[in-house]
Amino acid sequence: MSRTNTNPVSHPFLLLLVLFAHTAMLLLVMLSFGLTVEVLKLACIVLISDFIGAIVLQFVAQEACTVDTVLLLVLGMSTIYQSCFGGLEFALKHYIFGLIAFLMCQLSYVLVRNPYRAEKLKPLWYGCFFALIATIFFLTGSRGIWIDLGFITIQPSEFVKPVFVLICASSIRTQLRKSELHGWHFVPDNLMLLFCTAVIAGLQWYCRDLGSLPTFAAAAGCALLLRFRYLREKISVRLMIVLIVGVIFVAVMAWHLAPAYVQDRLHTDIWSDMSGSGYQQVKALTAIAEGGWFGKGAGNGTLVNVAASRTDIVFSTICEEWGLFTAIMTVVLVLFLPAAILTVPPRSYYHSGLALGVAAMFMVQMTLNIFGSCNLIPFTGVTIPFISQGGSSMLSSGIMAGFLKAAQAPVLTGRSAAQLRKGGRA
Amino acid sequence: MDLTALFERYPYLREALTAFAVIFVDFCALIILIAAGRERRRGDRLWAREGRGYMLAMGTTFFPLGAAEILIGRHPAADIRFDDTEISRFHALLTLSNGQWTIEDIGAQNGILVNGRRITQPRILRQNDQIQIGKRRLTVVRGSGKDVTA
Repeated sequence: MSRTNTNPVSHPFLLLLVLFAHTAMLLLVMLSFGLTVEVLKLACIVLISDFIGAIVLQFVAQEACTVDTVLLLVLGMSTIYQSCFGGLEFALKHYIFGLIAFLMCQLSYVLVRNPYRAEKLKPLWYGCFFALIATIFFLTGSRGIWIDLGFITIQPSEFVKPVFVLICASSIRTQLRKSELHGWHFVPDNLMLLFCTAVIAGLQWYCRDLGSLPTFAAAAGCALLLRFRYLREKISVRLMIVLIVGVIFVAVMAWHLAPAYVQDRLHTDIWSDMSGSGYQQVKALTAIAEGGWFGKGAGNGTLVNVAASRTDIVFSTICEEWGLFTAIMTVVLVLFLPAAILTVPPRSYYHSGLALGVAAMFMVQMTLNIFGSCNLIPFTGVTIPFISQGGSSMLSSGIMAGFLKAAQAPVLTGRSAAQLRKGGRA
Repeated sequence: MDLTALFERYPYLREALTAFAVIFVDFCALIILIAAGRERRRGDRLWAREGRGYMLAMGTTFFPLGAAEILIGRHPAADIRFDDTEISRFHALLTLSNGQWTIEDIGAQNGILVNGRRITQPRILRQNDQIQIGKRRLTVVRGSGKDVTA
C-alpha cells in the first residue's frame, strides 16, 4: 500500500483523547492520594509519554492508527494501575517494559507488514521456534519456566507465542504446494504446524506449565480452520464427526491423565479450603465484591498482599481498587486491539492468519485470567496482555500487536512477475 | 484542600467523580472505535488504488478483486468459482504485488489463455486483457464495487 500519510483520521485528535483519558484517571489517583510529589511524578511521566508517543506516531504515521492509539491508551492505564496497587509507588520496571513493548510493536510491524516477505522468512520462524523450545528444555530445567539472569528473569515460553503465531499464518500459495508420500498427499506446512503444536503440548506437559496450553491450542485451531477453508471439499461430514469425537476423546483423556497438581486444582472446592488451596481465589472473589462498581479508590485495596495480585489475579485487584466498571472497560479496551481487524479487514490470507492467531491468543489469555479470578475455572497462571505485570508477557504482547497493525496496513511489494516465474509453479 | 474530609462530608462525591472519569475514558474509547470505522472506508479507497481498481468481468457479471490472492477454480473454496468440468479445482491464482495483478496457472488441466495465448509462466494483467478459463471468458476491467476480502 502507499506509504504516504493519507489517513483521514486525525492522529493528534485521537492522541488528544488518550491524553484526556489518562488525565481523568490521574485525577482519580489524586483524589485518593492527594496532590503529592509521587502523584505529580506519575502524572508527568504518563502524560509526557503520551506526548512523545504522539510525536513518534506523527513521524511514522500509518494508514491504520487504531492499534497504536489503543496501545498507547492501554499502556498508560496499565502504568497507572500498577503504580497505585496497595499504595503509590511508580512502577518503573513495568513502565520501561511498556515502552519497549510499544517499540517492539513498531518493529514487528515493519518485519511482517509485507506478507510475501514474512512468509519467505518462514524457515527463520521455525528456527526461532525450535531455538526457544531448546532454550526452555535445556535452560529452565524440567520443572521450571523461568531463566534467572540475576538482574532479570525471563520466561522464554512467552516469546514462543508470537513465533507460533507466525508459524500459524499461511498463504494460498503455500497451501497449494503439496507433497506425496506413498500415495498420501499432504501440505508440508500443515504437517509442520501439527508437529509444532505437538512439541508445545509435550513440552508444557513436561514443564508442568499446562496453563498456557489452551492459548496455543486456540491459535493452532484457528490456523487449521482457516487452512481447511481451502480443503473443505475433503472434510466430509463423517471425517468431521471423527475429528470432533477425537478432540473430545483427547480432552477427556487429558482430564483423567492430568498430573496430580492439575487434578487438585480441578477438584478443589475453594470455600471448604479457604486458607489452603482456595486462598487466592477466595481473596480474589472477595476483592471483586468489595470493590463494587466504582472501587475502594486507587491504593486502598488489600488484595495486593496476596501472591500474584499484579499478574494472575490482576483483574480482581483492578476491581477492588478501581471498580468493576473500570475493570470491564479495561478488558474491552484490550479486546479492542484484535477487534480492530474487524473494522479494517486484512487483505492477504497470510495476514488473516496472523490476525486470527493473535486474536485467539489474546482472547483465550483474558478468558483464562478473568474466569480464573472469578472461580469459574481453576487458576491457570496466564496474564492479561499489557495489564499484568511481567516483562516477557509485555514484550510478547507488543510483538503480537505489531502483527495486528500489519494486517491493517499491509505493504504488498517485493514479488515481481519475474520472481514468480523464477519460483515456478505453486 | 483536605480531600478525605470532603469525601467524608459528601460520601457520594468520590463515586460521582469516579463515574465521570470512567465514562469519560469510555467516551474516548468510543471515539477511537468510530475512527476505526473511518479507517475502513479509507482503506477500501486505498485498496482500489493499490489494485488499480481492477475487476474481472464476464458479460454483465463482475468479480471484484478485494484480496492480494484470488483463487479461481471449481473448488468450493475458490474465491471465483466456476462449476464447469473443463475448469480444474485449482485453476488460476491472481496475485497483487507492486501494484500489478499477475495471473498464473496453478495446475489447470486445460490451461489458461490470455489474449488468445496459453500462458506457461505468471503473466502481468493489464486493462482489457481477455482471460479464457475453460469456456469462460473474463475481461480485466476497471471499476468499483463491493470487495472480496481475505
